[in-house]
Parts: sequence; structure tokens; C-alpha cells
Amino acid sequence: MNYVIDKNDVLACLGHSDQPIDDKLEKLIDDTIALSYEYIKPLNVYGIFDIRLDNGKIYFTDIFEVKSEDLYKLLKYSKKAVLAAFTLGSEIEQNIKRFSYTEINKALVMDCCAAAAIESYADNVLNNISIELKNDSFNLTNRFSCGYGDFYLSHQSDIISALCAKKRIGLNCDDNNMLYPKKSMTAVIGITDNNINHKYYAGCENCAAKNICKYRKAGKTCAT
Amino acid sequence: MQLKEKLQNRELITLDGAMGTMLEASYNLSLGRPPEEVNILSPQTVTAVHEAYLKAGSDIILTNTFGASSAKLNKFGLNINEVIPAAVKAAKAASDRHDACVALDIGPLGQLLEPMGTLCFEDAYDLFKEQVILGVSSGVNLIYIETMSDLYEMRAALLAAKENSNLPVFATMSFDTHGRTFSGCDAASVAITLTALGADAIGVNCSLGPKEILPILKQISAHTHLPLIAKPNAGLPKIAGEKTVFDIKADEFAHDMTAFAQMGVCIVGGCCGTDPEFISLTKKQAQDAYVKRINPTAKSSVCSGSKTVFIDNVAVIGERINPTGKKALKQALINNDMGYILKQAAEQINAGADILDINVGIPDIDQRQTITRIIKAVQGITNTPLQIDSNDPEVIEAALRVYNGKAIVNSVTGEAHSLNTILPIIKKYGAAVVGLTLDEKGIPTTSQTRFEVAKKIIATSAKYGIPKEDVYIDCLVLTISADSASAVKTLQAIEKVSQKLGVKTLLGVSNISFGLPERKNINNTFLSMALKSGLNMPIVNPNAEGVMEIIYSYKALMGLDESCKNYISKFAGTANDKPSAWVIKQDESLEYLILNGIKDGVEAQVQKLLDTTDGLKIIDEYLIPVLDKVGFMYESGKIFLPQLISSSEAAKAAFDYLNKNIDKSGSQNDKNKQIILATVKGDVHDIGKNIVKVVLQNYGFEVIDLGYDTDIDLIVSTALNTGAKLVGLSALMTTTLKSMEQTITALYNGGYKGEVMVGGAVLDEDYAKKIKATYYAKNAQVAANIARGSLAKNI
Repeated sequence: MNYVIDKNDVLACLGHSDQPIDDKLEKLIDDTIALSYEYIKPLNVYGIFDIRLDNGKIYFTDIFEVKSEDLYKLLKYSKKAVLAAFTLGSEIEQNIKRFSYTEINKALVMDCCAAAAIESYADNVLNNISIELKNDSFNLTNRFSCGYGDFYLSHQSDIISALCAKKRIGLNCDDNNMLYPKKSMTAVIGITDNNINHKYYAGCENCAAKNICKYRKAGKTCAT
Repeated sequence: MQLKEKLQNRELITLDGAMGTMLEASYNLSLGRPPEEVNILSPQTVTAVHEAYLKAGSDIILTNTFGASSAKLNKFGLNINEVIPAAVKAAKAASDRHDACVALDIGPLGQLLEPMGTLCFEDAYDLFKEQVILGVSSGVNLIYIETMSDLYEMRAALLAAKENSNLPVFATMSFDTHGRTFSGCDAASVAITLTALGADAIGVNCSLGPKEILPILKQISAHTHLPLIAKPNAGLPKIAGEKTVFDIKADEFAHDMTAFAQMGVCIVGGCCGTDPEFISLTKKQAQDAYVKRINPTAKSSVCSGSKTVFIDNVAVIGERINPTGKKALKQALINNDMGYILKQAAEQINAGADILDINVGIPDIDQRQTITRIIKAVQGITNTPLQIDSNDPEVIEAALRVYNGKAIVNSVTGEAHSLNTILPIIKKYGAAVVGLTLDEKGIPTTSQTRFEVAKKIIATSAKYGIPKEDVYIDCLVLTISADSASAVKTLQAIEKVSQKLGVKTLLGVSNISFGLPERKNINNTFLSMALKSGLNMPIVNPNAEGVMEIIYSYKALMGLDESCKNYISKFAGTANDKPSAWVIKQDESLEYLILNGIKDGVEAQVQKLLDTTDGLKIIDEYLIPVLDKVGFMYESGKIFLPQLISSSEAAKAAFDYLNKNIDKSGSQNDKNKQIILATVKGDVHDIGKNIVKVVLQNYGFEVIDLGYDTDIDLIVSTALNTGAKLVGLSALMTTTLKSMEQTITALYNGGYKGEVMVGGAVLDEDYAKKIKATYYAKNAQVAANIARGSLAKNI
């Protein structure tokens, strides 16, 4: 299994802080986590791209360019970056929808299972890349997704087309920059020299995920 | 080349290889520009690529039009009316010098179709139609639809090709490493649907190499008699910088391709990463290895885009989405209350229905529009195949057009008019059909005459090209309260039809007990008897007491459930999980049960209260105060969302029980209790809206749930027609806030006099004000408080 659904992440996503949980809810969460594993069919595609930083802009070889202060800060020590896309597939999505008409609580918990799963899946895939790169004396920055800070959602489609993600993993992006299947994400990760350990977090105020972020719900941030 | 003859004789046909890879090598395409532009800028380059493949031995070349839909081309300022003719011309310039065919290549539109995405089926059809018409008028010899991962999109393209040309149509889809397409379609459903819909050859292309595709083609091969196509990539792709490289070379590819020739795949070629060398080696080796395939045995089956149900023994058809005798469903159909209908669908599936019946037969609604909307919505939440239940050819056609998969149509009769109007539609859209054993003379009184009518239906279907495994016979049930021999006649007819005609049978079981008390006694006994007589598809309410118990038991008893596995997994331990009312302790008051979200026992407590207290008083003095307490606990963080919902569901059980048991005179269609809910157009997120619905229903509000991605017109017309005084709109995305604003404007411009509340993750109070919403509900509890205030004002 290249991802796990951590119950603590599911609870955080559900907005749990310190409320006591009875056996029935405990069982619902456990059962739904088990069921989610059946519906999730994860796929990923990534590539390593040369980047050039110039005058506030980041150029991904000659494929596309991004104007973003936050991404610039993330990549300031990098000459290469990983572009990656992850998806859990559409089956989990259809089942969440179905349960939302009969057992809304199960749908809600499953939605959070998917949120936890995609984070874990992305972390694990990147961890493997990071191990490979370490052998070549490189290091990775933290992962930065479209919508973080001033790295606008409109770049989803740039990443998808750079990776041919439509063809490779069936990931689509519509005119509203929404990803389909919905339980998916794209990310940029800077590659630095081994002796540099650079992380950069954009802060919540400008973040597109501000209102739906599981960390914020639990009173934390993605940086902690 | 005589393509049709070659196909008929199953001769080996060689396709070409990659176009994009070749163009990149020979033409300096400006970055970000589509390859289709080369057809205009440098047609000789395109012709040279085709020429190279023809020299390598390709019998069919595909035009450079993979992405040539006007939706895609317009984005680059290109005109489809120039691109497609230029592409065909470039291909013909090469093919004219060889004995080869030119195929119009059609790829995916690049936008996701409903229900997962927002592009509607009809719009997708129109885009494909435009390509087909241009291809045909430019002189292609066949149409090749490829790289589809959504069977629904493939259906749109295939229909467009069949309806706008007389050319052969090849159809191939792409699968991932999990053995399904990216949108979840399985090989069996793909094969069954495309075969039924009339493709001329089907198979797999792109995304994987020959080795990975082989097991998928084997599965497809088990479910179709059509010629098969294998057109894999040059192995698995790796992204190296901005370049994609593939991991196998031409000789290895050609070697791997012999496995396809050995299993009888008669159309071979290459996709991404292949070149003329791959094709020429493949052709040589495949020719040596090729063995003609033996067609698989035909099976009775129906499917959705991602699930096939084989009718080998018993398949349960859920009957609840049929308004006959169901007041609440009728009202939901009139109000467009999709939430109610989806709940009926999901509950039957959870209970074990294999197929769902969809019947919208009430007067005063546009049945075509309604059934189209319901089929799309139900297919959005489940992959259970559907049965379209109507005898109106227009309704049947509208439904089949948008259905993803192979449906059942219920029904034709033995009357000439019925057979001649409905069977052509069944054939065209590739459905299975139910034949009712009645004719111009009415329902035959003997089993022998019903058997004769069945024979006639099967024979006429065959004349229309519908094989007998796709005809299911309904031997009809009349109530035994009118004719005590009626059950025996039906059972005899079933036995005869299934044994002598070798077709599958179907039956609406519960009609047997009409007019009798305690109908379930008769229904359940008759169901067991009918199954033993050979009934394959009982149309029943799977949620009714005893029904699924009989089905599971029957399968276990008849040796259809190996080691009773399904029976055990369904029933083991269930007896202890359901505490009966008497188990509930004395101190477990209604308040205790609701606060702790315990549904079991709620009804017993409400009944106990009803013995001494008036129903309305129970609502005012027991339920509402508890709900307020729950709401307060949620707002103050003492409980969290799943607990709020559990409590709400327990409270709803109390309301439902009260509604059933107290005098509701005057409360029907109470405008002050009605709330319309919808997720706005363009937005397919509806979990938040559904949470709000549950909480509102607990306060006794009647929610008309229009579903997700809701047309603005539908929201306006429902608001005006029902006279509801509160509309709740949900949007999760920044981008669909615009659509929310347009909906509010349309409501008020349309003459709506009520109030509007809005909610969703990206909204806030200020924005709600800006788009002229009356209220902003930051969560479900706040929505309930707003609803109580808003609707109380109106009384």
C-alpha cells in the first residue's frame, strides 16, 4: 500500500478537537476507513524539469511560466523542480456521492478519508523520489500546490499538460481550474543541493484552501 | 482495400503508429501549438508521415485529427472547417498511392462529461457530429474513435458517427494499471456496451504497453463477437525533462504483439512512442502468428459504464422508482425533487438490488425531460444498471440516448404496433428488452397462449437484429383475489418459457396479492415459488420485509452461493445488532436518544409519549427543545459535525414516526414548511448541501432537493411553481459563485417573492450580501435557525 488513511487526520478533517467519541461513531470511522481503501485507486505522474528564476517569474524550461512571489521564495535555491500530479480515481468520488443521499455521516467521513489518503499518497510518492535524489546528492523542498499563497489555481492546467497527466493518469482540469476526478492534487517541489534544507510556507491568509483546510480546522497550519 | 470484406473474413489488418512522435521529429512545431495545425502549415510533412507508415505496411492510416474538435481548435484560433479537410487531404495524398484506407481519427474532447464533470452529453454529441460530418464530406473510408477513458464520451462519439455516416466505426479505449479506464469503466461493460451500440471493431489503445494490455483484451474478447483491436504504446512512459520516453524497442514490441495475433486479435497497430519500424516488424510477426478467433457464447447481461450484471441465475430489480400508488414519489417528480429520488435509488442498492427500475409515468410532467434528468442523476451516484420502464417510444428513446451502458427497456407487448415502434429503438441503442405476454386480444388466459405470444416476440425481435439473450419475457401476474388459478398459470408459463424457449424471464411479483390483506404473506410465498419455476428477474421492493431474505436463501438452497458465502456475509451476526424497542431502558428518554444519536428505540419512545400527549405538543415540547440543545452544543464545540448529524437523524426518525401517526390535515404542501435546496449550475459538490438537508428535515421542514449542477431555469420554475418561500443555494468553488449570483438574479427577475439563503466553503457574509442573498448560513445548524426565522415571518 503506498498510502495510509490515518485516523487522526480523518478526525482533524471532521473538525474534531477533544469531544468524546462514542463506540458507534468510532465504529463508523473505522469501517469507513476500511471501505475507502476498496474504492481508492491511486495513480501518479511526475517529472523533473529545469527551472529558471528571473525577475519575479519562474520559467519551467520553455514550457510555461509562473508569476508568484510565494513560489519564487520556495524555489529560490533550485535549478530543477519536480512537477507532480496525484489522483485517487473516480470510484471513491461516486461512492461518497451515493452515501450522501442515504448515510450522510458515512459520506462525510469518507470525504475526509479521501482527503487524508491523497495527502499521504503524495507524501509517500515524494518520499521515494527524495530517497532517489538523495543518492544523487540532492534535497527536496516542501510540496507546494496550486492555490497556495499567490501561486494561482490557473496553473493546474499548465502542470497537467506538462506531465500529460490527462493521458497518463486520467486527470482533467476544467475551465474553472477544478480537477476531475476531484480527489486529486498537483504540486511543485523544488530540488536543492544536498546541503540546503529549504522549506517555505505561504501562510494562511492568501491561501485558496483557507476555508476548507483540515489543519486550520484543527487549529494548526500546514507548516507545523 | 475492401475493408468490410476483410473485417467480415477476419483477415489481419495493420494500423499505423504514432503521429505526434513522428511530427515532432520532422517538423519544428511551435511550443504549445496543437499538432493539428501542421495539416495547414505543412501538409507535406503530414503526408510524409502517412507515407512512411504505408511503406511499413499499414492498411489503415489515421488522419492527424486526434484533437480536432472545434472546442479545442477554437482555443488556438484554428477553424475545424479548414483543419479536418486539410488533414484528410494530406492523408489521401499518401493513401492514393497505396491500397489503403483513411480513417478519421477522433480523440477525447478534453473536458469531463457529466456526472463527474460538467460537459453535457448532448453538447459532446454535437462536437463529435461536427467532426464526423466534415470527415465524411472530405472522403474518409472509416471512423476511428480512440483513447477514450469515459464510456459515456465514447457513446456520444459512436452515436454521432453512426447517425451521421454509413462508414465502419472502430472504437478503442484506454485502460490504466488497475485494469479499468481512468473513469472506472471495466472491460466487460466496455465490450458489452460498444457491441450492442453497433461498433464495427473494438479494443484497446494507448496508456500501456502490449504486455499490460493483453489481459484487458482477453476480458473484452470474452464479451464480444466483434473484430478486436490492439494498439498499445511502446511500453510504459517515463518523463525525462520535457520529453517523454518509452521503455521498449521495436523488436520487443513486435514480439509482444504476437500474443494478440495468437488470441485472434485481427487489427493491430501502435500508439505513443511507436514508429514505422514498429509497424513493419509487428505486421510481419503478427501475420505468422495470427489465428482466427472463436466467438464466445452469447450471455444475457446488462451494464452501466462500470458494472455488468450477468443474468445467469437471479438478479433483483428494485421497483421503488415507479409512481404508481406512491404519493410521495409523484410529488417528488412534479417538484423535480431529485434528492428524494436518489435516496430511493441508493436505499434499494444498499438493500441488494442488482438493477433499478425507473418509471416516471404520471400525467402533467414532461416525461422525456424528467427521465433524462433522473437517469443522469442516478448514474451520477451509482453504477447499478437501470431498467427504463415506459411504453412511450419517445420517452424510451430519450432515456436510452443518455443512458451510459446497456439498459433494459420494459417493455414491448406482442401487439404489432408495439413491436414495430419500439424494437427499432432497442436495436439502435443496444438495449435489452422485456416482452409482455399479451397482444391485441389482451392478456391470454392460459399459459400456453402466453407461451405463444412469447415466441412471437422473440421471433420478431430476431428480425430486428435483437438476439434472444437480450429478450426477457414477462409472463404477467394477475391477482389471485380475482382469479384463484392465476398464480398457477403464471408459474406454468414461466417454466415453459424458460425451459422451451431458453430465454430469461422477469416478473412484477407483488401484483399477485392485490386486494388482499397482509400482502407480504402472499408476495413472499409467490416469490419463492416463481424462483423455483425459473424466474430470473423478480421486480420487487428489496427493502420490503422478507424479500432479500428469500433471494439470499434461494441462492443458498439451490447451490448458487458457494459455501453459502453471500448468505453468511449478509446475515451473520445481524440478529444481535438490532436492539428491539423493549431493550431500550426506561431512562433512555427521547432526549437521551437524540442527544446521543441513537435511532433505534426512538419510535418506541415517541409512541409512548403519544399515548398521553398530543403529536404537535411532542414536537414543541420535546423535539424542538432537544434539537436546540444539540444545535447549541455544536455551536459551542461540545459536539462535532458527525455527532450533530447523528442526532439530527435520530430526531428525523421521531418526526417521520409522528408524521405517519398524527393527523396532518392541512399540513400537506404547507408553503411555510417548504424549502428548495440546490447546488448551483457548474458545481458538482453536494455533500454540504445534503448535510444541510438532513438538519432542515429534522426540524420538520419539507425539503425539495434539486440536486447538483442545477439549471438556473429549473430552480426558478420550481420556486415559482411550488410557491416555496425560502430557497437555499450551495457552491463550493470560487468559480461557481458567479453562477450563484446569476441564480439569485434570475429568481428575482422571474418574480420570486421569497428569500434566499446561501452557503458553501468559499462564501462569507459580505459576499452573500453582495450577490443579494437574504442570508448567509455558515453551517447546517445556522441554516436551520435561518429557516425557522424566515418561514415563521411568513406565517
